[in-house]
Parts: sequence; structure tokens; C-alpha cells
Amino acid sequence: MNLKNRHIGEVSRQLGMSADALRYYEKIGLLQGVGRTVSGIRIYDDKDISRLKFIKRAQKMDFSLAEISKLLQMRGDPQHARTEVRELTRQKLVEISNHLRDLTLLRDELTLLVNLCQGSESGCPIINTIEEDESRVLKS
Amino acid sequence: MANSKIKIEVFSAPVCRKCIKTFRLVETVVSELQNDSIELRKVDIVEELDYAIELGLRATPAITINGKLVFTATPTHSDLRVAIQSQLSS
Repeated sequence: MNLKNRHIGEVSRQLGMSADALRYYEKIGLLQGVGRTVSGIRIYDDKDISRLKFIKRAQKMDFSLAEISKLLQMRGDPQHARTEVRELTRQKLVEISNHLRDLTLLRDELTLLVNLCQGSESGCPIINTIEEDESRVLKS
Repeated sequence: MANSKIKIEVFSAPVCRKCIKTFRLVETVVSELQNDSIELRKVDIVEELDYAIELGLRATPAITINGKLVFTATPTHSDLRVAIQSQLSS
């Protein structure tokens, strides 16, 4: 693990989070124990970066900060997480699985649409590049 | 030879020339086989996108036999004939 410490500006650029957001997450307890230099400047280690990446992913799933806080408890100490936290984690897992299923379906639909023949003289431009006139037998 | 009922579906897009060629080929082979157990259907992929995705289609033209994706492009006459005969005898 790279134990390089980073200042807030570097973390902000790396993760695409504002410095204000990083300070706020610390204030509300999503990030705990963020280090300081002797002059009081925040320094973030790999563990902090990992938590921040988790927060960012969870936000992309539209989880609230309160929910993320509980999920971070589970992440930090899964064996001793409270029942409520475990239940929330299970619930979020179901939500993610459903979302993943929808995304997979959408990807498949878009793939098919992109591959559809375009009506050019030569037939299907995209497909022609990979198969020429030879058909591929999937099952006999 | 057993005489199982089989359903052949040719998936095509509205302006796909290869799809037209493929459907004509399938019609020809089905006609040659002279077997009433064969049901042939042309499927407009735009009209039945969900069905196409369900069968695993990612491009047109494509041919399914009894709901299984068998060809992902225009097959040769002999490959198609063999595939259909194989289903008829199974």
C-alpha cells in the first residue's frame, strides 16, 4: 500500500471532490482521524482516500450521507456492526444488484442498437468489419 | 426421422440489406425441406427489442431456432440446412 500523504488540494483534484466537501465530511464524522501537519494542515493517508472513494461511489448510487455513515461503520468493523447497520447494508446490496441488472440490460440494448444494420450498400458497417461474409455458428 | 415442430425466427432491422438476404435464404431452405413442421417468422428487432435482448442478440441479422441463437450472421446454405435438419431430427 502506498502510504503517501496528500494535502487537501491534491485529494480534491484526484477524487473530483471539492475541498469544502472534504472538510464537511470530516466535520460530520464520515472521515475520522484525518492527520495534521505541525502547522495544522490536513494530510490524507491511503485509508482516508479509500474511505473517500467509497463515499463517492455511494453518492453515485444516491445514498444519503446518513446512510453512507452507517455503511462506513459496517466497512470499518463488519463483525461488530449493529443490526440496523447490517440490515441497511443488505438493503443497499439489493438496490445495487437491481441497479446493476438495469444497467446491464441497458448496455445490452444499446449494444444491439449500435450494431443494427444501417442500410448502406454493403449491409451492416459495424458487423462487416468483424465477420465479413462468414457466419459464425453458435450452436448446431 | 422424427418430426418435431420447430420455430425459426430471423431477426432483422428495417433497413438491413443483409437481413433481407438472410430471410430469403431461410425461406429458400425451408421451402426445399418441404416440411410442415417448420414455422418461420421474421422479427423486426426494433419492434421486439426486449425479446431480442432476452435471446442474447447483439447484432442483426441473426437466426434463432426454437428460441436459441444459432447464427449471428448470414449462414451458408449448407450450414443453415444442417442446423434445421438437426432440429427436425432431434
